[in-house]
Amino acid sequence: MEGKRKGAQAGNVLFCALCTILILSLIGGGVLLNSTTRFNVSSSQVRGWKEALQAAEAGGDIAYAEVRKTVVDPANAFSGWTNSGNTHASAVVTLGTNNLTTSSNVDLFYYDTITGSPWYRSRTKGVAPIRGLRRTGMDDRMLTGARGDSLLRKIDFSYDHFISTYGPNGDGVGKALVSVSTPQVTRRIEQISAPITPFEAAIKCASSFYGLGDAAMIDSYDSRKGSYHFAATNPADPYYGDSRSGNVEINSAVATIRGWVYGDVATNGGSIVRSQYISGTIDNNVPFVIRPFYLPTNLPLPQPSPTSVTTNVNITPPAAGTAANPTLYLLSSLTGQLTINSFGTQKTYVAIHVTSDVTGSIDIKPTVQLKIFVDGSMDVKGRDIINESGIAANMQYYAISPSDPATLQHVNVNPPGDFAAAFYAPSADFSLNGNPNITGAIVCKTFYGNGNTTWHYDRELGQEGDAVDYRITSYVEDIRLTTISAARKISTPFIMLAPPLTPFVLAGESPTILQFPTEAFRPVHSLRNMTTQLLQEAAQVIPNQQLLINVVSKRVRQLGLGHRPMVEVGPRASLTDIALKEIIAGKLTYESIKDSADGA
Amino acid sequence: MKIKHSTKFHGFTLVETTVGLGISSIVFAAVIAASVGLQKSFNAIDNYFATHMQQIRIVDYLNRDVKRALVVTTSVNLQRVSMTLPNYIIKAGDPEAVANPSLIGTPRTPTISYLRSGPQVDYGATTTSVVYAISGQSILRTENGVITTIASSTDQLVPVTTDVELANTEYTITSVTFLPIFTSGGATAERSGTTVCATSYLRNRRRG
Repeated sequence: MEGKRKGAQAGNVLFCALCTILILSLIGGGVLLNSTTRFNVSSSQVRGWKEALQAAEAGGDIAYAEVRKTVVDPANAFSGWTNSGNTHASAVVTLGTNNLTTSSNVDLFYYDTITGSPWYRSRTKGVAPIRGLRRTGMDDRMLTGARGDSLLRKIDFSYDHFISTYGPNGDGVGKALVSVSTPQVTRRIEQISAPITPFEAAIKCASSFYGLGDAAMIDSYDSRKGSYHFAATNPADPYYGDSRSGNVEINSAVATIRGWVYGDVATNGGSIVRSQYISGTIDNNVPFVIRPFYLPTNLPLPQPSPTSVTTNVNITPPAAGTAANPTLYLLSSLTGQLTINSFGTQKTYVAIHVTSDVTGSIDIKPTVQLKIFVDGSMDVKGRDIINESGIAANMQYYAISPSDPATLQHVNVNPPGDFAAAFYAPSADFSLNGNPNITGAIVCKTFYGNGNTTWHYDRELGQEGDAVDYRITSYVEDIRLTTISAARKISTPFIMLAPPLTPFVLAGESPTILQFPTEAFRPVHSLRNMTTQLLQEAAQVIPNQQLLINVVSKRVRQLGLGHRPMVEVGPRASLTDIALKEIIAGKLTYESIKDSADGA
Repeated sequence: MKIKHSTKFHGFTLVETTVGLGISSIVFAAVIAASVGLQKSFNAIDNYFATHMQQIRIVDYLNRDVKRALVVTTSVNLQRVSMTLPNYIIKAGDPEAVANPSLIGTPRTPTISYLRSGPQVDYGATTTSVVYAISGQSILRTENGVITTIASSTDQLVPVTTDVELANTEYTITSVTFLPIFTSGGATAERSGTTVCATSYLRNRRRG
């Protein structure tokens, strides 16, 4: 048999082609690898970081809704939550299309002893999973060598860093090493829900408004600082600052305002005529809702008598009571004159529930504070409202909203007579006739006033009355830096070889290679001091300084022997910088041979 | 069995060699040119992308702080943003920490005060000052005098923040642009094509 080698030139061409393909493939592979990392950074990490906040804020809304239920629907407030006294914990809620999760803890952190209303704090956690490759690193490319994304966006690749650093509730209790099933971002916010008190403005109405007369005037004062006198046009008056809070809020475009208003005016798309008579700001884009008012569920049992007032009735409560626990009387009618005395000389808190219309008069003594809950309408004269203290907060009328929204309810106050009182009647049409001198506030559905009334809003009313709703008044995000005590083992467990260095380092009594900077040195970012900054950040990961020094030393030795860095490094980075960066990135940790602190 | 080698093709002729070398040169030149071009293109894209990531980082930093800010003001040239933040975390030296050092690093329970404008939530008696400003090629965030470089690039990053105050709330609009150092065919680099824009509302300034 005879063999012949043919086509040697063809093999040569094939070799060249393969080499070309190989070179191009290597280049393409490098591009692809780099691009994949960047894609993960931009697409997954940034998105996850934003979505985690969205989840946290969604959880905050859920918590806020439960807080509102404490007023709107107390029987179902925090239903389904884990409740312990004044603290409430929600279950984990999954939302969105990307398996976002959120959970909240709500606690009553402040109790206003004047209004009897609680303030709630909600701490909410939002978690967003990071899609893509499990470990792609983070984008820290900057000229200065400082950290970029890894300082802003905290990603839990393997362990929950927050729980490791601060515990599950962020108070330093219950720190633990908790692994995460997938890389994730967690963000935490804290919101404060403040009670909305009934009388926040001089006049607040949910619908149309007409009034007052051309010669009318609305101003304010603070009864806690003294009796009323007109100060709204005299900046030198010490009470001037309290005199221009006669605010009018109208949730309607139908807003005819006449007379002087020493305060702010808000409407919902309205236009103010005679705006030159308004001393404060005018905002025609403030829509709001006044919820119906229902009888509070926390009232005590009523006194056995009286059960109706059709003639002159004089009562003295059996106890002084408190704002949250007043003495209650249940009346089927109030058409006569009711006089309420104080319990001794003490401030006496009384509540009356009238289950019909009110046409009678009420006289309360100076140290009595009365809340009247009325099922029906009111038709009274100004002189029927006898508030001997002259403090509006001591006479509070509450018109309970009809169960059928179609049922009409009204509050008519006719002349003659001046009075000091506050009315909360969100479902009632309020009509004020004559030219009375009024101290107080009114919340109603519609308002009509045709007289030249002088109206003084008492700023004390802003802190009076039970909460009618809640609003979020504060928002903060917990952006504390997180660390982790143990994550992954370095390739060889290290043995403590060096003597303890901490005292020397801290006291500066002997030469040291690694100087731990104080907080004041943090702003330094030049390349010359890069090690100092990295060292400080690494110290947050491994707080024990002598352990940190040993880990760095060990790793520098490994790098010197040719081990590959596990982080992106610049051309001028020293081995120490690389080791510190690896620690900061969570790539490196330690395990002592004996007595592993966390069992890692 | 004997394998017979032909001696007919022991070498290449001059013509074959010349043609082969010529073709190879063209192929390798093309490969090298493609490689260089690819590498340059990749560097350009990578650099552009890195700066773009820094744009996003600047916006995210600003939005995070604006949301929890009590007060935000911008300078006349709109390149410096100053804000006041609540002191949510207890620090060393705070009154709570003096009384109980174990509270350092934990969240603070706020206090309530009643002002003319309504009830106010206070996280401690003092607040935190945060300023964003440009310094050379870097964007700096200064918190109570402590400086952190949040972005740094040779692409001349410029953030511009507009503060819009409404009657019932306040928000900021931040746009960040840069001038790419790599351009195609010597074309004039355009800042406008690199704009990243974001709006953020002050969560602590709302009414209703």
